[in-house]
Amino acid sequence: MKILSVDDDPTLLELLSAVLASIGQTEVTTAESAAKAFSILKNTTEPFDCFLLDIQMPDIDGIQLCKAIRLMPEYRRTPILMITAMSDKAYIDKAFTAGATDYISKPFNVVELSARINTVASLTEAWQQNTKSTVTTDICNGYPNAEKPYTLSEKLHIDDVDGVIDHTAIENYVSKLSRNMMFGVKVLAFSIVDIERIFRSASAFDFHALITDVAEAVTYCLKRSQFLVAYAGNGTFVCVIGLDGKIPTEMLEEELQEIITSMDLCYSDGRSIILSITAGEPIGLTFRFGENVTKSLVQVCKSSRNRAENRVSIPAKKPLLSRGIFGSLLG
Amino acid sequence: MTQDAADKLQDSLKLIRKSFTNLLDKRLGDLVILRKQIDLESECTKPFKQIQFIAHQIAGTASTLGFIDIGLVASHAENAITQHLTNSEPQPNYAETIQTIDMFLEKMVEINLHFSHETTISNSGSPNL
Repeated sequence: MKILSVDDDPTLLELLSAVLASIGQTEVTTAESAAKAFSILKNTTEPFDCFLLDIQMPDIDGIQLCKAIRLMPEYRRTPILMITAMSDKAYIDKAFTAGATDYISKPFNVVELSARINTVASLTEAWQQNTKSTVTTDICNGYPNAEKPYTLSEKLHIDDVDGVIDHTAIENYVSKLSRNMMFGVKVLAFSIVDIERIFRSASAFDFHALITDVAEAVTYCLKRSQFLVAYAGNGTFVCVIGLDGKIPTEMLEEELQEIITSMDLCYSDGRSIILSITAGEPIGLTFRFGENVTKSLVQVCKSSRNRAENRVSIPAKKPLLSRGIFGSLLG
Repeated sequence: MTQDAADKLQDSLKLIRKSFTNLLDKRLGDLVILRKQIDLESECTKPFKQIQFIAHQIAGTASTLGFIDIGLVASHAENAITQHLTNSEPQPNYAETIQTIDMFLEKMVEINLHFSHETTISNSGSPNL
């Protein structure tokens, strides 16, 4: 696995390289600043398989570097592990929003770091073998009909929507929140009603575009709170909402429905897409520990899907012409 | 990890500990100058930030390399300066922040002396400080 490790502290770079070498990862390139990392990325012929980025660096920090790496098409899905001594949840949220896959706290334990790198190595291998995971709208363009390079349950990757991250990343995020950080945090899911029919009737490109549009609507609906959203497959979006997310779920569901209706979504052949949305029962993370935290992501998705399956798809209400929320948002 | 790999890692860690202790002398020199600047200058944000940065670097690796005490005091100094500079609550007063920095400096001096002495005697360092 080809790894680029970026940290302004030469001792930490030495330490990372030694630990990586001990688990057989010898293709390690190091950079002492984001500027040097950019130069390496520009001149490399074979792309990197994994990044280790320190968050706190002078000039361009690790979060900015992470964002910039994610904008490079070849690194949209490459694992990025942030290394941080920051215990502040805001920094960790920013790192995940910027596209981080996971994070390691400093000072780290050598055994723990080895284990985490090994996990990333297996993930990388699995992703490289399974091209479905790297489905993008560009790839979908090659499938004009109902045939798709992915299944309905695929946790599709969504590009360029602020606050939307990969499902693996959201799992890593909640599993590492400390008890303090979980105070007031809740998880919630939204599901598209009648998703099987929509999946069957849409082309690969249209379905991917639809999921991206709904993800954008979800983030717009949650804009008053701190949030992270991931697509969990089967037309379901899982959201982690911060302390200020005290708006009742019914109200969020109604608002999201209005936003989606006002988007006037249609397939690329001009047919309208009428979408109904349901929200499941939210779960507060305040008193949850260990495995229960990640299980809660599964539970909210299940609750939301159950509600979607029990609801008959009905034509959505006409958009409120005077509001045009999403029209103005998209300019 | 195989025994061979574990042995190699231990050998590498020894060398990294050595380069960490070699860096301590330079870092201590920088810290002393910055600490004096805080006493002499009316606008102290810059030296505070530089001390915070050095403390951050030391805190990031010291404990992993076995230097637990210095890692802890560096981390305390970093946090105290962060709170001081960001006006976050609870706000430490100026004297408390300076005291935390001085404790960090004292520990640095102690460890630096230990390693200078040890280098003179045997060239091998103990990580158990």
